[in-house]
Amino acid sequence: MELHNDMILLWGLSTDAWITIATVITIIAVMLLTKVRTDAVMLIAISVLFVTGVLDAKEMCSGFSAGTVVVTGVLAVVMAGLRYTGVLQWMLKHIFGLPDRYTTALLRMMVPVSMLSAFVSNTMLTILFGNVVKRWARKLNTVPSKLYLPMVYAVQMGGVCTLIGTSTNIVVADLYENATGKTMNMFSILVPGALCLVVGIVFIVAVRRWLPERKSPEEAFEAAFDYTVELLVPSDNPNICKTLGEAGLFHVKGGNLIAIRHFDHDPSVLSEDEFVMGGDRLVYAGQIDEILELKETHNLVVSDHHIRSMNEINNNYELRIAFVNFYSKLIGKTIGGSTLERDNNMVLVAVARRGKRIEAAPREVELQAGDTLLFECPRKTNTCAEHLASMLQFSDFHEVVKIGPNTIISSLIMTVMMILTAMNVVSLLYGTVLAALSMLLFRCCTINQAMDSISWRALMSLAGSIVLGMAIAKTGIAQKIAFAVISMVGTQPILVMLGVCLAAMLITQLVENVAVTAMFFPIMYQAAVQVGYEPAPFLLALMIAANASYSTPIAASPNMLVYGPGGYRFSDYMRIGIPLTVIVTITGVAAVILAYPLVKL
Amino acid sequence: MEKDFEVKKEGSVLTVALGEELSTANAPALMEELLPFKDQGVEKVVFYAKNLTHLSSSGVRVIIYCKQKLSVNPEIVFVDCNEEILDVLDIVGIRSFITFEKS
Repeated sequence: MELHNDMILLWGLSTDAWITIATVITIIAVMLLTKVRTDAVMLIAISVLFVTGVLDAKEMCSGFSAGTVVVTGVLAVVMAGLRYTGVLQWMLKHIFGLPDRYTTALLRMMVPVSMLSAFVSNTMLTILFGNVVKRWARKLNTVPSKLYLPMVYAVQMGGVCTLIGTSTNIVVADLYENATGKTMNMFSILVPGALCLVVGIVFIVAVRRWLPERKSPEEAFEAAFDYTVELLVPSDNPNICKTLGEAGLFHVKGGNLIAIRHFDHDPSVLSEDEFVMGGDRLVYAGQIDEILELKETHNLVVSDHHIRSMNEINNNYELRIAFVNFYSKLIGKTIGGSTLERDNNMVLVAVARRGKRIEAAPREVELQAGDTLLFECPRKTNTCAEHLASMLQFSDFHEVVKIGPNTIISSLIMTVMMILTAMNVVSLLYGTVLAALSMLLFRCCTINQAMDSISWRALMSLAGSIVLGMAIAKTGIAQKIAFAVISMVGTQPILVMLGVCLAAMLITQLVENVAVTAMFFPIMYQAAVQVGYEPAPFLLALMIAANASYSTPIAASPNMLVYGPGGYRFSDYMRIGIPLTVIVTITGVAAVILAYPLVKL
Repeated sequence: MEKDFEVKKEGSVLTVALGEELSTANAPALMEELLPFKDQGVEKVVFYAKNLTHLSSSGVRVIIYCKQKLSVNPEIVFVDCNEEILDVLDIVGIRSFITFEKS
């Protein structure tokens, strides 16, 4: 049974339209106020639209077969080829160098990063460049927070310069092709995008003093006295039956014992005369490296499970630093109360929060976004695995990639793909599929690496966003909003373009920009048609506005990725992000009008 | 909790008949009873553990106390100890210095 709601109800909008409006408002509220995954929110939303009869079965499924979704997924395979053959790492090493001044460093970082970003995924670039930026900060005797934000802003501004630089551009191009039958060129957005980029970089350099100077959480782990470490006494420890004082475990070099927990968690008074038992957990506060020496000198281990013999411990473990993601399901929970350690065979060693000492056992700390966690992990732990990466962001991401013949092959594949699509010899979809197949054929990446590089969650939310955009168009909401904009600003096309762009710009600060793009595409398209102009320039301006998500850490993945490592606060993004967003959006509209004079339909 | 243990000294042997549990509820009281025997020439401490089903860290503390502080390295004997208690003694790493006997 399918429902049909054609009855006109209020303000000229049908029941379907009101259901869609309610769904969109709910989506925005859920995204803002809860930690529910974006892909789940989108899938539930389109399911609601389907069961209420707003969308039919074909429309509901159309997002999953949309060219945008396929191109985004296949492009991830192409990126995997570049990454695993060392192309990106080679570029990082040879382009960056080592500047000697902070201002020079800003330029040396932002210019190449933004250029690369035009062709490479923003998220991947942020991850790869993150480590370089950290090293630079150390050598320039500054803090990473002075470099991370300019880096992610450059990555995002650069990403707008080509169709493949960011998935929002692909969405617009694909929807435009579906609506008009015309294709957008790979470099259609280059001129306005590049102008915005130049203006943005100049602005960031000019206001560099506004960039926050936050203590690096990672440095704190290296040398601070503000962290806690939990060590376990194995059952064969020679100190069992001695008192803490006799065993030399009460007063230790580099820290203090702040709590002891026996195997049964019975309360015990912290005293030098307390006996040491197998299964005891000793919580120390102090300098981590020195406290961890107790592992060698007193046969202690870092562990969340009981270890009966030292022989069970091997050297295949290493310490890794991770940050709690902004939407992590660990927020508000303790590691002890989660199955994270057990599921991933890793152990929490220490917790830090903005350099402040947390007077509790690490496993009992209620986590917040941006908290820094030190884990002991098996060396082969895949910290990029989607289930882990959705909760924690590991900062010590490093890959040793061998530069060889495949480095050249993957570069050639990418170059050929860009040339063929730019010259309209093949479509973007055809070009990316061909490039991905070539990457696999020439073994630039393995099948597993290719599959792991695809963010299925992102694809699902992309598909959901497209369907949602379709519902907005189909139910007449887009047309209604377009009329409303025209009634407010008149039929002057520049004002219409600016009005819709400013609305998209505002919402993209709070909601994922792909969703904003899909929702605003039909509105911008209808607005352009209503004032009688060819929609393409309007949509190019929308690309820039929907991507101008610089004012909050939740606005875009790159922003989130540096939130923890930079030790930022929410307001840090607003101080420089708000003016940057406005400047880029207005420049974008102006540049589009200059580059593409508006043509009457 | 009602006292559910009994301590006796016969010569150099101290016997402790335990109830169903040795935990925070009764271990401090048992420790109190043991304190007067410190440095009184105890060579062997025998725990009758037939009924013992729960041993907490407070109870383990008492056993370690007997071994380490009551006198110079006395022999510790557990009589009729069940599997669960053996596991606890294993985990806390003190099983090696205890002799186990059946009645």
